[in-house]
Amino acid sequence: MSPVTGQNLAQFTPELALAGGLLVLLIVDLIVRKNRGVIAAALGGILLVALVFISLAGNEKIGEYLFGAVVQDGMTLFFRVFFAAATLVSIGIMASTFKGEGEPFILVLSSVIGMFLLAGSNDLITLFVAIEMVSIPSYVLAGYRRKDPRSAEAALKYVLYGAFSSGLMLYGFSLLYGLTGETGLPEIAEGLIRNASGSPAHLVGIVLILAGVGYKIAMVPMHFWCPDVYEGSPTSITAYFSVLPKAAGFAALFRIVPIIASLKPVYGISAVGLITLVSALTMTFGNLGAIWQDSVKRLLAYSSIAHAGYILMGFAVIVALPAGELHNLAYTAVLFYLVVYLFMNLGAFMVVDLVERRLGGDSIGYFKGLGKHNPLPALALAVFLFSLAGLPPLAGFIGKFFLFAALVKAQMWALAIIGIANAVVSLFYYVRIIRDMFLYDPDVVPVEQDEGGFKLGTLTSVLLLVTVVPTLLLGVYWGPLAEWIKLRLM
Amino acid sequence: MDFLSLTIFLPLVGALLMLALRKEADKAAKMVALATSTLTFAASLVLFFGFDRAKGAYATGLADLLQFEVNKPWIETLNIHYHIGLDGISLLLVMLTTFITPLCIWGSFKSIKQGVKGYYLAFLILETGILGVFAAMDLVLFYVFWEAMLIPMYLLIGVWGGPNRVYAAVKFILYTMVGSLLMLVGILWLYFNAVPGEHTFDLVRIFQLGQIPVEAQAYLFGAFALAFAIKVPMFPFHTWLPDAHVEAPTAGSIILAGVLLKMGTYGFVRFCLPLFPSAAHDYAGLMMLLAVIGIIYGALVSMMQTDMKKLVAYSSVSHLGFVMLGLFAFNMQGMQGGTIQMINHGLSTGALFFLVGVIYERRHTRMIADYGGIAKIMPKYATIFMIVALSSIGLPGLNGFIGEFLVLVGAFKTSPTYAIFAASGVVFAAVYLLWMYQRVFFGEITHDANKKLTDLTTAEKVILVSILVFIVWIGVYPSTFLSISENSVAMVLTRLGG
Repeated sequence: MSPVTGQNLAQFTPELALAGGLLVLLIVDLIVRKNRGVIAAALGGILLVALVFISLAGNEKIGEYLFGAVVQDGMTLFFRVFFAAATLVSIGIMASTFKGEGEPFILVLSSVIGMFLLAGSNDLITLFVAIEMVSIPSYVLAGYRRKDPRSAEAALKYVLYGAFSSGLMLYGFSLLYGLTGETGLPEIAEGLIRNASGSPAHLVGIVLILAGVGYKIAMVPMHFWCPDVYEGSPTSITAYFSVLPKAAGFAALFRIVPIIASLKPVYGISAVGLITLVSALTMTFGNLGAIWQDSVKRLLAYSSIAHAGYILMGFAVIVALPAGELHNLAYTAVLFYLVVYLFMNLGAFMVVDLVERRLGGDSIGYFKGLGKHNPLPALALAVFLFSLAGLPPLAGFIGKFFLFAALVKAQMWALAIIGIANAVVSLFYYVRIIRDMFLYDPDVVPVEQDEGGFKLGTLTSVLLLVTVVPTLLLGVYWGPLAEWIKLRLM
Repeated sequence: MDFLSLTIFLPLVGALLMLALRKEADKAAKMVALATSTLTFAASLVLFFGFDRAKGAYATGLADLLQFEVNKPWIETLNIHYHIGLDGISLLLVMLTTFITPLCIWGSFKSIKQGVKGYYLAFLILETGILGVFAAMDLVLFYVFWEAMLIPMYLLIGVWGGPNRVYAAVKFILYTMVGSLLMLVGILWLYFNAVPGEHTFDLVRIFQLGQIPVEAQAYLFGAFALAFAIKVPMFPFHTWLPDAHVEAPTAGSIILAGVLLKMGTYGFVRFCLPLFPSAAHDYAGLMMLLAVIGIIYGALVSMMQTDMKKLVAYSSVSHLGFVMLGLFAFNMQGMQGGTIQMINHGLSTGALFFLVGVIYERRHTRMIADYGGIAKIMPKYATIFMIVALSSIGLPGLNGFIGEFLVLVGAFKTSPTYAIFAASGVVFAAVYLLWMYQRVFFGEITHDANKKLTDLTTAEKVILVSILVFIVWIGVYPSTFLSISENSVAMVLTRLGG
């Protein structure tokens, strides 16, 4: 363990830079009167680009810091870059909605500080504080449209469920602390293996923690808030919700892998069995829920639940085999999937946002005939949806391919079959949207639009490119990214 | 020069070129599509004439058989390669594809009026997908091509199809997807376990070094066979086919019947039989039974159809039953017959769909009852229709006879009972096709609208006659084509242990 020193603080360059940048943003927001949103987005964007580079530069300083409360390893690096890049795209999407308001951007960026901390948390307390730092700005964001009752409802649901699950998680933490007398995550895992593994308290502790973190990733049965919050929040913020806090939840989950894996079967319940069960339930519930939705936003909310379930399949393999080649393969699969999910899901929400703003709604009727009057956005959405469904040669296929490869190698046949059944079901509702866009005539014809479709504007065009190109490219040439992720795990 | 890659990707290049065209540039789009698909055919002719038929005699794996092989690393992390090559069977199917596609494109010039550019774009992408399936020698590459052709086909049916097109398109994509995902699991299993001490998707290596335990073969055979059986389609997985065929535009039906269904039968010869021989023997009885049920069921249902296109669609179920029966006879005659029958069906049924399309465009109905006495008004059309129908029935001297005869001889050796039942399918085929022919072409002209029908145009004549050339060629001198696939089929038989 090392004391807090200047050299130690240097580990926090990204977080410090973020905090400093945030202060500047707050002050700027007070001074300027016009275009506050655009300026905030621009400044935030510059900050995030800088963060990507700062995070990448932190590659060499591997180790534990601050009395072991924070760890710097490949995973930290991966998630920092991921969070910065995903936030960059998210605030780009938000910039079209919030041209005159700076607050949403400030809230998002303050949430990102929590995520950065979460990426390196190595201690129960850091973990909890980081998760709350991610959550609290999100509650405010969900209710940002105060006067819209749906937005207010979303915020209230989000807060109540969030507080409840935080309580559960804290209770779980206290059980683990009670069992081992430690707060550091590796020490707890060691302590659990040494003496208490297999006790009912251990099981209860892990179930409670899973419930708490599961809330963030909308894992069944902690998913009830998700469709309502996603539907009620402004769409561009929903896009952000569907990727970033979810990925943060996964970052937290990865940190507690050794603790979960240390559980020996209690009353016949094993750690792998537990994860397998929630994974199967999560994807099945998400996909079955999505079939009946009329609002595309809600449909994508259920689809994002299903995708959490897919990622949990890889997580089951990680827990089943805590080390070795297969462990790394599963890790690569999960992280790769997150990257792919980032592009395709943000992209899909972006087009939904565009349609909602221009045509006035997000129910599936508004998408009818989109391919006829707006071929470009429709084509982009088709790419995202086919990718979400996992059709080659798109990135989503490669993501699923890696996940299924890990499952097959681990011989977890039941989960693989359930996953496949789910992929087929999901194809049904994704294709339904594509069918409506291209095969039907429009119900709602846009009032104002230019020849050949909506005027997209530079920012939207750039963002569409930034999301479409990786979705296509990673489907045929994913080697370098997979290799980069693999190296981070060494 | 790498003519195989050129053949595969030329249509894709054409499709990209088309993207650069203006939206209304219909004429240019047609020209680009026809030119690229014709060039693709030309490139594939280089393959056809450069193919060494003698190569790979007594081969036990793909390594000795493959020609025009290209093997470059693609994704090194997972040991995935861009590995393509052709053996005799895949060469025949590649030739069929490159031959049929330009005819389909030309044949669509008049019938497709809406979204012209998108139509040809989808068609060219589809061609690349199909060619890739037949040439891929890496399992991931194979799977990517296999699934990649789903999207353009979905659009061809869904956007340019008939009144019930949306239902048909969704049914098509869901059915095929169910099968392929299980195959993906099978592919992953092969990657990890097929070759001891190595993780590889390389089909050639799996053929060479693979040691697949007998107990695993049953599951793997099942996973692969389901995907292929849905594609073929074998009874009882055939229900998507009539919907897709009836709703698809004419050229879509031709490519679907002519080429896409062959991806299923090709899958059986390429994967199920040589890789899982012990399971193939175990399942052979069941597969032959399903094939015979398909032959008879397809024929009986065809007989009852009032819609000509539906009739031809159900006859596909029957004809593909013959192919499957031949393949699972596990002897030279049966398997060679099955292989040549794949080509025959592509030519004859493709031509039949085209002929139905010709009259549909003129009268906008496909009901048999709406016609009668057409032979007097459209003599040339009637003549060609007769020849094609006879080839489909299996008249000696035309291609259908060669395929069905070989299949029946092969099946008789293995199981006389099945062969006898299957032979009844030939009789039924004569009944439904000739009965339909009689009702459409002979008798009095009962509908006045039919009196104004015009006979074949020059374009239609050229397309049909070029198919007829091959129908007669295979019928009279099948050795040209049988000799191409002989060594490949022998390899499959060697691996089956017979």
